Amino acid sequence: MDDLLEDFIAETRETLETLTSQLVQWEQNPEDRALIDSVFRFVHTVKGSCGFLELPRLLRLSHAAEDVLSSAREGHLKASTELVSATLAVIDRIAVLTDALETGGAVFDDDNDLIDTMLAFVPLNRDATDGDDVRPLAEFAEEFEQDERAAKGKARTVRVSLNLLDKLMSGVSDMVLARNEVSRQLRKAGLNSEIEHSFGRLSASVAEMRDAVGMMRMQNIDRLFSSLPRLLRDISLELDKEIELRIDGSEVEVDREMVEALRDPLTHILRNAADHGIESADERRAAGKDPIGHIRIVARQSGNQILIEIIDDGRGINLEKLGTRAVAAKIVTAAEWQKMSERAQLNTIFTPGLSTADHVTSISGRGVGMDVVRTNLQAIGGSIELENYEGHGLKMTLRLPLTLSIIAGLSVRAGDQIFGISRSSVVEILSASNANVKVEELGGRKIASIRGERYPFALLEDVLQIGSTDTAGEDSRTFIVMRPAIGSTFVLAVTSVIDNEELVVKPGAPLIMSTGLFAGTSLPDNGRPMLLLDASGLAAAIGVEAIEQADDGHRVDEGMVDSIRNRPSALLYVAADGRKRAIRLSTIDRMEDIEASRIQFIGGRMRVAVEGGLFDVCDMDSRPTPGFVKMLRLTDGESIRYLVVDDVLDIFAIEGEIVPSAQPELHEGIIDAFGEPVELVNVFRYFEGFDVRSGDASKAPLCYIDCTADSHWERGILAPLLSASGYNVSFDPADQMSAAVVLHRDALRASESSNDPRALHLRDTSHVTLNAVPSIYRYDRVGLISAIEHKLAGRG
Amino acid sequence: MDSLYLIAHLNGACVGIDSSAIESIVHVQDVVPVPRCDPSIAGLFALRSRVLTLVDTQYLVTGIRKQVEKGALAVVVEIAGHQYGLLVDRVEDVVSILPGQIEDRVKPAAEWAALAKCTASVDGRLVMLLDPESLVQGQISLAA
Repeated sequence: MDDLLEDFIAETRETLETLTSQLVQWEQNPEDRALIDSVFRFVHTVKGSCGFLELPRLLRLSHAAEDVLSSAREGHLKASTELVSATLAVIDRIAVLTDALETGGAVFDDDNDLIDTMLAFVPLNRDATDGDDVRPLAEFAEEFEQDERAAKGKARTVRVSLNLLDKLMSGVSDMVLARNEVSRQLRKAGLNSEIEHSFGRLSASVAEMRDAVGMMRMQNIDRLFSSLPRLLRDISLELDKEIELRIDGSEVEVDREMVEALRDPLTHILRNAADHGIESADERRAAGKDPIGHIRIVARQSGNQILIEIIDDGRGINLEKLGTRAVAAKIVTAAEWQKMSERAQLNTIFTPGLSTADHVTSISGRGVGMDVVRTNLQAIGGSIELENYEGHGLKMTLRLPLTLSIIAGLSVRAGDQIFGISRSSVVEILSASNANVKVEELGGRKIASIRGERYPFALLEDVLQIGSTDTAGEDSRTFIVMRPAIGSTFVLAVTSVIDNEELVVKPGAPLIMSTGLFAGTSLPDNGRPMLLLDASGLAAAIGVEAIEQADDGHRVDEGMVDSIRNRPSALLYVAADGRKRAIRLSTIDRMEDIEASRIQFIGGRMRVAVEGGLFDVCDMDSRPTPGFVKMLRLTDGESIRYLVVDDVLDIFAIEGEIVPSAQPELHEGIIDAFGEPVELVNVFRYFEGFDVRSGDASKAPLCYIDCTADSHWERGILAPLLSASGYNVSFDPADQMSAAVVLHRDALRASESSNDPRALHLRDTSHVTLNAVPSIYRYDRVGLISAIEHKLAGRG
Repeated sequence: MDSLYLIAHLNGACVGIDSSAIESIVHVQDVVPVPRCDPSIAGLFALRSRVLTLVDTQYLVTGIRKQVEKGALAVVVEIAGHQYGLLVDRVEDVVSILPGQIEDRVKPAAEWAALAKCTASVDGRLVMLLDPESLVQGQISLAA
């Protein structure tokens, strides 16, 4: 029974969160049946469980809520602010009681008032507090079962304790290490193909499992955001302000502990924004603003940070007023205040005991707040920044480390040590011997110039102050162009780039993090701890001047990215036939080394199995010899192709004239690459004609086939041909009217339907009989498909 | 109310470490140095699937960094939510130390003052009781 109760508590709590946001949505879209249905279903389930677990107070509450909602479902009631408020009050009480169940605390019983308020909305006003109204247990059990059955279609979940998850995670990681150890031993002992084969299988399943466990900890940030609409609704009702909330970036994934840690700070900020930031409707009108206040919350991942921005279009912070308060609260003296920079002045709002609110409301303004917010954020390694636009609004940016999460990383060598870099902060990787790269020195400061652009430059060994064991000189080095979340782009030289791997990042000890150079620690497959470099920290250490973030820093960055993308660049590579060619860089997604065993000739062309998908391979004539094959992953934004290359040489800017090719279908033209003419491949041909799978099958034209139920040819041969050509096929006479093309083989029907412009008659013979209606031989595939195309084109 | 302490040797001196914080005692195999970090941090090492920070206790006492050899002994402790390995020369036994065993008159030597607040007499000899928190404050604690 205790287990059942625990499950009930956990389940109820989880659903309550989504429920409140749905109720608020329902208030805005009273006509949406799906919403009210889902709200009703939840309350109904709670009611059923309460009866089952003998929890009378919860039962009465949920029963009353169910009554009201069922009445709304039947259309007797319309969603109104009062109704939703009353229902939310009952749901809040359910949440309080659920908590009390767990802690064993007592909750004052004024449930009847809540219930009465709510039931007043029901037209018939049944008295739910009447004990007779509670239906017998058996009935609940029955309904409960029905609900279970209805829920079968959804993905099923179980609840697992975090401790157990952590144990599982470290267990799997240990397994990976053990596997690596075994692999080393095997290699030492000499290879036996049978053992190798079974070890390979073990290896693959261990890797798969590790990925799965890693995913288990991650959670959509939406879980955090889903409670905000409700919160804002309550605040705006209380303050009598109309505020619109927009949330973007709900798909960002964060560690679930992060979600919990962020809940309080975010709630606080939102309260502040609604209470102090957004003015009353009258004030807003007077200031020439939209009377409805707007608050926008944006989450995104940027490098190894997660950024959450809270932007309101309220009055912003009045620095003068803030100064007066700060001086009054004896935080600074008036003279000090005068000398402070605007940013420092703004930051005084994080000082304990300061508030800019004119009066204390029940929502905020009690002088505790922003200091707590900042402390909470710092506890999880985050920070907060303000951008104040007095009179126009305030933007708060929360920066959170990506710790405890999995990132795509790059491992690099510096001296005799290996470090990780988040791949998202890497713009480009170049070899130092590249003709496009030059390192200049100016007054002791090194500057790298890449394709004419100059960037601050530093050796990673120098930044980290570790000795370089590299005696080969500058030429063998690798340059990494990095763009940190804060600060401008710079170039880092490392001894070599080792690998691309997924890294589980964990925060380091405070002493390590306080260096500011590291984003965390990670344990890669080789079992040797690795430090993850923090791009922003490196930039600061190099002395790269930070871009002033106050002026929409990221917009500047994006503009820069655009200009990089717009400048046409090409990749010089050695094609599979041994010749040097160039391909436009914009079409390349990335470069991959793929095991030859994953490539096979199937379905009429070479294909490669990558990440669970099957993609076409271009420029490959025969199955490769075992080993790895270098491929470029090309994309046109939607579909993906792999292009086999022998080697990748360099990136260069397309400049000068493009000489036309004699084979324009193969080459866009001939361009100059490092003083040598090369063919610029026509990427179009890699994508043309291949893909018949249209993104949205429901938009494909419908072909109706008029035939008897037992006709083998239509069902077994014609229909598959049409589907393969990208059409939807139906045999249902009901679809005849809506079909774009109607196909039939019955000679008698042919004459009667000859007026229908959509009709296509198929004949059994290759020759045409006398007096026949226009028709197509049923095995003339090309003729048939083009006839359908004609029909479609004629109509549209 | 007695507590259990692990008696360990650290830079030639006998210290007691509260056993409630101790997770295990391990031989450290592979230490990855942390560049530009506080010198009291010897580096990182992997214990099963976790990454732990190795504290150079010798540095904290003497100001001279210890050359960490393969197989060096470390006491794994959890301090303020993070796991650390404390380098020790060797470990002895776990003993219970009662409040009555605390020697009020004998204070740790100056170089130890930041790391140990008091001494206790165990089986007729003196041990210093380490304050784990002070071990992971870095150099600052030396200056204070």
